[in-house]
Amino acid sequence: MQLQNKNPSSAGISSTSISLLRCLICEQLTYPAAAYGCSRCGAARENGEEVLMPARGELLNWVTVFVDLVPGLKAPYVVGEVRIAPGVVEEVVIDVASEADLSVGQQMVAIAHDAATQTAGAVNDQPVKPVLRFIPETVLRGVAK
Amino acid sequence: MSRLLNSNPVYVVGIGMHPYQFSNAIPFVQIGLTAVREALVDAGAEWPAVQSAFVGTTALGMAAGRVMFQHLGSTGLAVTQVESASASGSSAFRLACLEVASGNVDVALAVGVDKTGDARRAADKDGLPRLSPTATIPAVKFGLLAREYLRTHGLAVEAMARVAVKNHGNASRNPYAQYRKPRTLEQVLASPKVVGDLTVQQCCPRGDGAAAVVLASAQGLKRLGFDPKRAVRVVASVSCSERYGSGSEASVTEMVRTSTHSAYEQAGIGPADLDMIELHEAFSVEELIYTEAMGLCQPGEGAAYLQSGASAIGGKCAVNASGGLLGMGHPLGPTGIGQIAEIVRQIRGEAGERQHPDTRLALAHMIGLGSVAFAHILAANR
Repeated sequence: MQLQNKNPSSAGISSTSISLLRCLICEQLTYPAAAYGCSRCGAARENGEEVLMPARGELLNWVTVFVDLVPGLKAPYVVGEVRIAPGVVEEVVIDVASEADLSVGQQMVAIAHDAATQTAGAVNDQPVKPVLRFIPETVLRGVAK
Repeated sequence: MSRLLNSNPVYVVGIGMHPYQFSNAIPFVQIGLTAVREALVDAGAEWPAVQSAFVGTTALGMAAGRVMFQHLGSTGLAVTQVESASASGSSAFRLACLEVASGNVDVALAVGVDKTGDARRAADKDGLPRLSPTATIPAVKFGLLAREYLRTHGLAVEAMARVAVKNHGNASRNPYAQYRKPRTLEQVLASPKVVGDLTVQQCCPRGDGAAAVVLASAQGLKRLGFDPKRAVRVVASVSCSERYGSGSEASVTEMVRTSTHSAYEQAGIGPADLDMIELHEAFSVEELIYTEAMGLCQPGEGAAYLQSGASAIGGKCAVNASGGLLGMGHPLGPTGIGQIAEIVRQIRGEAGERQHPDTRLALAHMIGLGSVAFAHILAANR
């Protein structure tokens, strides 16, 4: 299966980080940092601190989305679940040519996409929104060479 | 709730449906009143006998109840509108049960009515960023869950596609169902892919529809002159929401397990006692996962349980004899009450060509976005 928009070298890559909330009561992490409280113990946001984590993580699961479900994101594309920090698993868009490029436990890194460089088209006349996308770390290393 | 249901029994005495159908121009008032009037006739009740009504809907906007009920006569009854996403009807039913069990009224109505189109998710308006714009889309969530389930248990896609084959087959025998065509395994698998391994025929349709039930206390039965043998008793009512899980299984699975087993405890039964279950399989894989979580079979054996015929009409415990959400449809507001109507019809032995033999005890289980869960157990009163 071939998906669109799968050449990271032309995708406006920049190193990036993800901001999370660390609870000072239970020490657990919550995404995003702007959350209204700790997702684990419910402590108010004021009882937490913002921490910047490298935008990377372990790939746990993934699927291809075959229909247009959200404005600005043209199918097909791959969505996965990545553990971005201890106890924090988030759904992310993955930029790969094929699901065959993915495996459970693979290290993923985020790339910041510039909307103008995305080859995926607009949906229902909605502009393509910049979406933080993840790629296998091995692919990024290959690009860096 | 168990003490209330024991001390002041609640019975379903009337059921009514408007067929679920693809979006059309029929106003919600017309489809809602069709279901309510049918339920009143079934209960042998006149509208003024209803003292309190609960309306489950997701997309109609404010005050849908009065907009409908004024055409039945302005009797001054209490009207409450509730919304719990897919479980809105179940939520309305539970509140109607509480209203009767509390002794506040003797006769109450729960009605679910919806039109496709205007439902908006609060999760999209919480002001928080998400890493993926798909993070609040159920089809993606369950596509991921399906992939993980199949991988964990070493199953092929056919395992969950068979859920759709069974439920479309059941729906083909249900005059209220949105889909009335049996599907083969080949057809289910060949239908267009939606997310991951889920094809169109493994995803429930959205649509319009209505379902209504009339509930009564023992006093209400007498007041209506209703034959107690046709009454179906509510023996458990449970509601809960997702909790921070152990991480060993999906939190939605844990929620289904917890809510169902709480209902078993209330009713004083175990899963082996159930004759039928109506459950939320908006996506085929859910039925496999939930039959395991509900204790019908061991973890990882949901597919084998289905393939053995145990969950078919005539099997050990019929699951989604109505056709479920996949076949009967999922108009949201009505869905949970449609489950209750199906169970009552089956317990009465009035389900026609989809009758599951000797149905006496049944579970209705719904989940809604968020996630929330509702479990009700109903029993024959004979």
